[in-house]
Amino acid sequence: MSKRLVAAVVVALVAMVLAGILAYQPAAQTQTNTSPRLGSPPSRAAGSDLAHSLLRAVIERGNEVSFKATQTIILWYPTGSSACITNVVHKAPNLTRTDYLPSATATSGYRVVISDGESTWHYEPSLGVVFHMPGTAPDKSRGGSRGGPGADSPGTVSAAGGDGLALIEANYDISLVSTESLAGRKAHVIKLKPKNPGNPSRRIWVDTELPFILRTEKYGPDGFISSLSFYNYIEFTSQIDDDVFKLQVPPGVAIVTIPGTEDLMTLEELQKKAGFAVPVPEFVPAGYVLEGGTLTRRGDAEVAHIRFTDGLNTISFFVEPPAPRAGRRPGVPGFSDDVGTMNVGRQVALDGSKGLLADYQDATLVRWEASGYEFTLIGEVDESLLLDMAKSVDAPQPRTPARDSFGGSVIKFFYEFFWAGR
Amino acid sequence: MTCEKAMSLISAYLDKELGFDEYRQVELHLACCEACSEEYEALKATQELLGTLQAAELPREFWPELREKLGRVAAEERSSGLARSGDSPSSPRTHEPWWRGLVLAGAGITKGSLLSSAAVKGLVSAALVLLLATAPMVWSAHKRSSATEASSQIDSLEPYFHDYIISEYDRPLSDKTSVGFVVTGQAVTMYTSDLLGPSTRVTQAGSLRDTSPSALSPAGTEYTLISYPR
Repeated sequence: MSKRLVAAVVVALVAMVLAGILAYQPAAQTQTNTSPRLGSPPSRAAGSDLAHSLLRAVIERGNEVSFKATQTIILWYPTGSSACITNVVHKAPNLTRTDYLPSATATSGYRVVISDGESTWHYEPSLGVVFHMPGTAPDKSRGGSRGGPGADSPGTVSAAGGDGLALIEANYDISLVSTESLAGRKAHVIKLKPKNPGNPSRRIWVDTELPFILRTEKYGPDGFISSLSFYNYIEFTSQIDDDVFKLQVPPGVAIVTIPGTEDLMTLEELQKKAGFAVPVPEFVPAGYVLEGGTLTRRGDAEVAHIRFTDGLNTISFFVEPPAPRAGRRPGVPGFSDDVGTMNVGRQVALDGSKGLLADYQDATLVRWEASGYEFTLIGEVDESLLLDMAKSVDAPQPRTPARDSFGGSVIKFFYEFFWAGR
Repeated sequence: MTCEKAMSLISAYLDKELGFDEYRQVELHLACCEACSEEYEALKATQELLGTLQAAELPREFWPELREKLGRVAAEERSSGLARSGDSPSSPRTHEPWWRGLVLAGAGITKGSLLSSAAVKGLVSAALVLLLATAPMVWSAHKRSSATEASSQIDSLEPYFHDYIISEYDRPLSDKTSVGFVVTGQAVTMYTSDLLGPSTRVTQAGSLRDTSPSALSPAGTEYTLISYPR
């Protein structure tokens, strides 16, 4: 009797569970086919589509958003950090004024940077100097409607706009993480995770109503955050007087014009213009493409600068030809002293030569010499990738400069102590 | 104050022979410069170590022994006409440490010569003390040489980082304000250095040329940076 009762109860329970499952399945299918409601988290596929479309909107129409804002910047270095609060005013499409406010963690004082659509003016009151940089106005910035100057030259890759987004999409997994409130606005949080290891990742907060980035977090290849910028306050308005973007140079202030960057050239054009052989690394990290090159003059010598990009990041390769050293000017204490941010001096073995490694912010530099040429690689990628690139540069056997040995120091010391000091 | 200037004054600083201004400048530099500070500490330690040493006193028997040996050597030279050392078969061979031979040979002294064992001990002791006393300074000089090399390397690398960061400006999704923060900071510190210094130094260096101080810029002198310095 009791066995029958138990069996009946079990059968009834199984029947109830089956009925529940059958009743639930149609509802689940219905939910999948329904478009996400406003305010509800979208499905994974729909979220990815939304993230892609938001990125496209930011890249193509970011310039069209006029605003007044206060922005905070924090940068982390190998040896510390630096922070700054700025007042930013942007009037579409290409007028921008940024007032960098002094702070305890920024070693600099107050400074103003104005882009008037044709050039950039940087006024440094503490020095009584205005730096004028023609042709460097970021009219293609604030979301970047196009690449660097000349990025559309034949044979080069335009790293922004449609092509740029395609490159980003090819190299990064783009996903919508969540929706958050920021500076009184709602924002979609988008994660860009590199498909190829050894590259930095990024999280950006895009306004839900406007193609505008409210917050950016950059992470190095090691996963640690390297920079953060976000708006504390923002007001979207086009009611901005044009006079805001006119720099009134005070009396007695010197104006120093710094040449703008040359247009990007193809490798062939660069070789022809440089007048010296410009070797290119045979190995380039996965996802990176040749973007083009420029020539930069340093002292009495020209340096070729070749740029590779994966859509978001840059790897720079500098080639400095053999040149008489007599005319070269010595270096000076520079920005590394300003914030103590450069970590230099590590040596690394390359094929048949020694290389020098240095870190600045989240970028790594490798420098070495071969046959009188000086080669320099800089990128925000894993150190091993840069070293592989360096090893793939086809150059004659290097000549490494002699380094002071301990024995040499002993002899030098005793010579100076006992003889030269007389 | 530069490191070179500080190092030229460091000895006088240690002996408190500087005037007030120079003393304060060196003091400030040492507080800021790790390499010079290390050098100063090494020099100070050496000075203190040397200060603890006392002049070695010769043993009482030194002069009588010396006179006796001089007389014996002169007698031998007169009798045989040869200036031989006391390494004759008749002389008993004494067992001496191996290093004494090296020291004596290095000093050009042979057995039976003028110096007694006490003098040799004093000489060796003095050499060892000198070696120990100067070791920190030698090591410091070596480290300083390496630090100077690293410093010049930093200087030569900066323009490359500058170009690299500027190229980041054009990237899609890059934060222009952050990039601008770094780039303008570089411009300022490069300008305040000898490379882009205002007025005379720049003009003399030939990196800037005075384009039109009066016509183009009534507000101030206008310069053009012809090229990146190096």
